[in-house]
Amino acid sequence: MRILSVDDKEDNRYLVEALLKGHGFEVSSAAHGAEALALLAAEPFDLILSDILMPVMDGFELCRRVKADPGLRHIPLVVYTATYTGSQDEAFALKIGASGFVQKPCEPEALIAIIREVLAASAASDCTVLPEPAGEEEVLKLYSERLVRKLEQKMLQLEQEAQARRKTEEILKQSEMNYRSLFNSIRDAILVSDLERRIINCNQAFVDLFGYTLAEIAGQHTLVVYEREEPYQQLGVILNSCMDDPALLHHISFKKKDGQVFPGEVNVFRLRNDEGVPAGFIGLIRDVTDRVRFEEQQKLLESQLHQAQKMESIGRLAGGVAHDYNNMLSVILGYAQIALNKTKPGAPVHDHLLQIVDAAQRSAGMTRQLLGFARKQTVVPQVLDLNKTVEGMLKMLRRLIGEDVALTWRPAADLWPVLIDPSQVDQIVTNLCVNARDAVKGRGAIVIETGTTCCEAAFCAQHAGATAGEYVTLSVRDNGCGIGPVLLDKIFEPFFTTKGSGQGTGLGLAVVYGIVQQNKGFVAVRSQPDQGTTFTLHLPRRVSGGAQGALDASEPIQRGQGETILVVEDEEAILHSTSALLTSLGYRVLAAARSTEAIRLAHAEPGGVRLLLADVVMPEMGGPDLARLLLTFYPGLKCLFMSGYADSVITDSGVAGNQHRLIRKPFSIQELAAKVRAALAS
Amino acid sequence: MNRRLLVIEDNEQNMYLMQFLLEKNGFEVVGADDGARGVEAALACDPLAILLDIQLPGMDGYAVAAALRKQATLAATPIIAVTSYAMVGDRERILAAGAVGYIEKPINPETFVAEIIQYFSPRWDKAEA
Repeated sequence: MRILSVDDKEDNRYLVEALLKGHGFEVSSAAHGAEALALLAAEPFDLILSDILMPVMDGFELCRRVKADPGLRHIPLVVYTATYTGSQDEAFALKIGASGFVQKPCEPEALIAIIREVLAASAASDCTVLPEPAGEEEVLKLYSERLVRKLEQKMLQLEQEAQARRKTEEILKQSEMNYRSLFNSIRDAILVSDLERRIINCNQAFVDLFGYTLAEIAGQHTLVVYEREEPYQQLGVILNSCMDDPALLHHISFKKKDGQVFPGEVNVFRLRNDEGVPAGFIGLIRDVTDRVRFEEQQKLLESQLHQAQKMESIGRLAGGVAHDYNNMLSVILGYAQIALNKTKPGAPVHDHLLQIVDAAQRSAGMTRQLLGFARKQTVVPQVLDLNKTVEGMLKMLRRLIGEDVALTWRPAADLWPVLIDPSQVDQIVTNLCVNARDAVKGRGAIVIETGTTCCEAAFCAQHAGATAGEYVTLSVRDNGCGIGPVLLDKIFEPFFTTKGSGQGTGLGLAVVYGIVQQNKGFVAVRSQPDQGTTFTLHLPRRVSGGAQGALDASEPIQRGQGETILVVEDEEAILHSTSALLTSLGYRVLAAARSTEAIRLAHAEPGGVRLLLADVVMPEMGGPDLARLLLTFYPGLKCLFMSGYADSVITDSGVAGNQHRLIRKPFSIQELAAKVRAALAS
Repeated sequence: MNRRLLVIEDNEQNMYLMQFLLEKNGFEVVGADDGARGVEAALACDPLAILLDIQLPGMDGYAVAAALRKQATLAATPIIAVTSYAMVGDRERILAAGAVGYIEKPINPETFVAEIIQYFSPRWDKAEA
């Protein structure tokens, strides 16, 4: 059986051909009525299966022609249509001679069944007795009607479709515009990539932030905007498990076109197509450099503030303890010395007492250091050239650090003056050099250097306690064992020591810290384990002609040049404070609470005592008698007496008429300095 | 610097106490337990001052003072008498023998040194002048 399939759609022709061939039919296909007629003219067919709506010649026309052709009219024609499905269409088709009417889509079995049925009916009928086709005029009229109706429907449908499309386009356009402006006005950089992470799109913020244009970056792998691959891969792993969570911000470093790296926050969402299938990724990137910097700075400042507060409270505590401790030490020391005087040298108890005295004296040294840290030292700041002060110490420092440690002194030219008590410079440099010596473990190099620097506000933000301004720097550098970062925070705390038991008091750096603070400066430490440590002290530049520092008195303070003064005072607290004052004034002080101790000290002093500063009234022997005794041995000795007593007592003690040799308690440092100077000059 | 004091005293306890007090106050003490050895020691050690007990065996304090005064090198060395004779007239007698002053026994450890230095140490205010 040969069937002619007529359909303008190739897919349909293919399907029908396959279906019919599958059922044992021979099939030829035509794309429209005219082609079908040409085939019919050339070959015999047993059945025509025709679509209706086709170009060139539609199914109705083909049917009409076939049925009008006496040579073809016996071939049954089955209409197979999706477009003309109204009952009037079916009636029309049958009217013009169609043998069957099948609506698309149709179950293949049903189509085959209809075809077989029509073929069977056709074979049974006598083609010669086929009904005459309907009258030409009627057919044409019906045909025209069908066509016009179809056309109207089609027009309406098209119009509706066009309207709908216009509306959709409008909405799309609006949506696109909204999206575009949103996309580009978002402050965060947006990067869109496909599933292979090749960049598809980016917004203006991205262009501004990264410096790439879309053209430059499109098609590149997203890795190009990240700093390092490893965290990028890690991010990928994280994202695989929890993408599309808008609350999930990932911190990662990005890299700009110019190579600049910055800390960022990224939010990644899946990009999905119309069907909701993942098609790529959308990344929202925010530059958090400022925030990170701010947070870091805040954190640093907080920790520095915390540290400063800690030091302050330790200082207060230490100061308080030192004061009470000093009083108790005075008692220990005093009684130990009294007991010492009552024993014979060489007796075991004498030695024991000497040990007690020695230990108490060393303890007193520690409390002095503590008071230094607590900034309770009485000081006499003066305008100094640090170069000269340090130079004067070099000989002592070389002895201190030993022969195997190279000491290099690098004074800066044109060093600005500073306002500081020179004895404090001594303390600082000595402490730092002792530490440096211990750090190099007896063999290495120490460099002492001076310089000038100007600290900007930015620098100060990084260093608590620093204020912007000009500073003179004094640094002590060693190439020793260095300090680990964990310990760096603690080194200025009193009693913090890395040295073995009995080797360090843990007060050296605390004193340095206290002194520098007292002088409105600050300390910077740089250290690398096994590379060495540098302590850089910053002392404010003393601008000449400016106002005197707070610690300055109105009148200039007269200082000593290391002259030895023997201070004798039975009240320990006064003895210590007076000694400290004189030390701070630049004198060498021998302090004695009793006359016998004073005599012992004087005899033991190889360079001789220049001045005796003694209390007028003391047990055993008062100041004037002691002076007399000492003058027996040291005729050049100068004398100055301290008294808290009324004039009459002084008169009895033989000081009357010598008011210039008397200083009344309590006295100021200026009074003391002036009286001492005058006594020495007499 | 001369810090020596010569103590001429026969009583061991007294000698010990004086020596202790003096040494505690910075002096070096040369001791002699009778007058003759005292004169010998004075010549040998050239002391700052001489503390002289009056009641000595053999050559007594007056005789020792007189002997010391005869020595040219010791003419300026102050002699301080330490005595338990505290009768009226004793004082005049010992000063006449050449002592610059005297201290009564038993000595007071609290004031002993301050007392003796009055006789040979310069006053601090005079020393300056």
